[in-house]
Amino acid sequence: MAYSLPLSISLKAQGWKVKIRDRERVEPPHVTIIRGTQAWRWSLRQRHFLDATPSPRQVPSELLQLISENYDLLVQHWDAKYPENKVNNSESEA
Amino acid sequence: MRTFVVSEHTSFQISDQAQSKTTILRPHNAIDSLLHQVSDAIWISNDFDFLLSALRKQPRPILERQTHLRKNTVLFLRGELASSKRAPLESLFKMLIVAPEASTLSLDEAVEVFNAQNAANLIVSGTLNFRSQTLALLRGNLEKLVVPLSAFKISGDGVAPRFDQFQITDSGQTLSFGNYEASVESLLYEFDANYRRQINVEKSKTDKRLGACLRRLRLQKGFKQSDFPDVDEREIGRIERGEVKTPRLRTLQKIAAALGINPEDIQTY
Repeated sequence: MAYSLPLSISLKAQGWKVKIRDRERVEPPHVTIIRGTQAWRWSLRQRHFLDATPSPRQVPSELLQLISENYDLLVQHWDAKYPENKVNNSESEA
Repeated sequence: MRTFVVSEHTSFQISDQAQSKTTILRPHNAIDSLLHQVSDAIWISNDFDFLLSALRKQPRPILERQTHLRKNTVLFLRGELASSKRAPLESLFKMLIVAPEASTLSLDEAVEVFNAQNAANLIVSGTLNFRSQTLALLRGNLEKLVVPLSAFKISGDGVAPRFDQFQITDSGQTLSFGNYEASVESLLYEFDANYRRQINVEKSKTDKRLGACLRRLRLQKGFKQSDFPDVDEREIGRIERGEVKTPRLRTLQKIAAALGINPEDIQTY
C-alpha cells in the first residue's frame, strides 16, 4: 500500500499530501508532495527538492518540518518499497 | 482550450471555466451560440441524456444543422453511451471521448486537469485491455499513452496491483489499483521520450553523464548489474561509476538490447 504521511488538519484541508507510492521513479529515492495538479519531489538522500518547478517556495514550511521530523520513517518506507535502491546505498554499486 | 461543463446540477447550466470564476450562462442560446463562436473548446458532461435534451431545447434545433459546427471542439462524456446514440454527438463535435465513470476523474477534477498548465502530464481517464495486457491512458492534452500492464510490478513490500479496482486519483497524478498506487510521472518518464526530453532540459543541475543515466534507467527497469547476459557486471559498474567514459558501441548495443531500448536513448534517462 502506498505510504501517506499523516498531516495536520490544516495541511490536509489545504489539499496537501506526502506520499511514497508503489511505483515511482526509482532513482533518486524521494517523497512526493502533492497538491491538486502539482507535485514536488523531495530527495531522501540530499534532503532537498529535486526539481526547480513548481517552485519549492510554494510548499509550506510546516509541511517540510513534518517531513524532517518523520525522516527516518519515510526512509524506512522507501527502503521497504524499493529494496534494490535503498536511501543509504552508495551512489554506485560495486 | 476553454472548458465548458454541461451539468444538471441546476435546471440548465453551462459553466465556463476559462474565466477566473465559474460563469453561469443564460439558458437560451448558450450552447448554440458557444458551439458557433468558440472553435477551441472542451465540453464536459456526465449525463448524455441531459446533454442531448439541452441541445434539443435550443431555439433553433442545432442537431438538424450540424455540419458546420465541427470545429476544434471536443466532447468529453463521463459515463456509458450506447453506440446507437453516438451519431448525433459525433456530428456536432470534432472529437468525442466517452470514458467510464469508474476509471475517470470526477467532473470537477477533469475540468481542473484540462485547464492545468501541466495538463499533458496528468491523466483524465484510462481503459484497461486485458486481451492486449495494456492500459490506454488519456492525458489532459487529449493525447494517449499506452503502457503494458507488466509495468506495474509488485512493490518491494509485497503490494500487488488489483487491475479490477483501477481508479485515477490525486487530480490525475496517481493511478490506483486497489491498495497499489503508481505515479503517473514514473510512467511518463519510462514510456514517453518527449517527456524525458522535456525534463532533461529542466534538470540541468542533475547528473547527465552516461553512467548516471544508465544507473537511473537500470534501476527504473528493475535490473541488477548482473542482469545483462552479454555484458560483465563489473563492466556495468565501471560505466555507471564513470570509470569507462566512452564504452564501445557494441557494449552499449548489448546493454540497450537487454533493457529493450535504443542505444541512443540511454542518455535520455
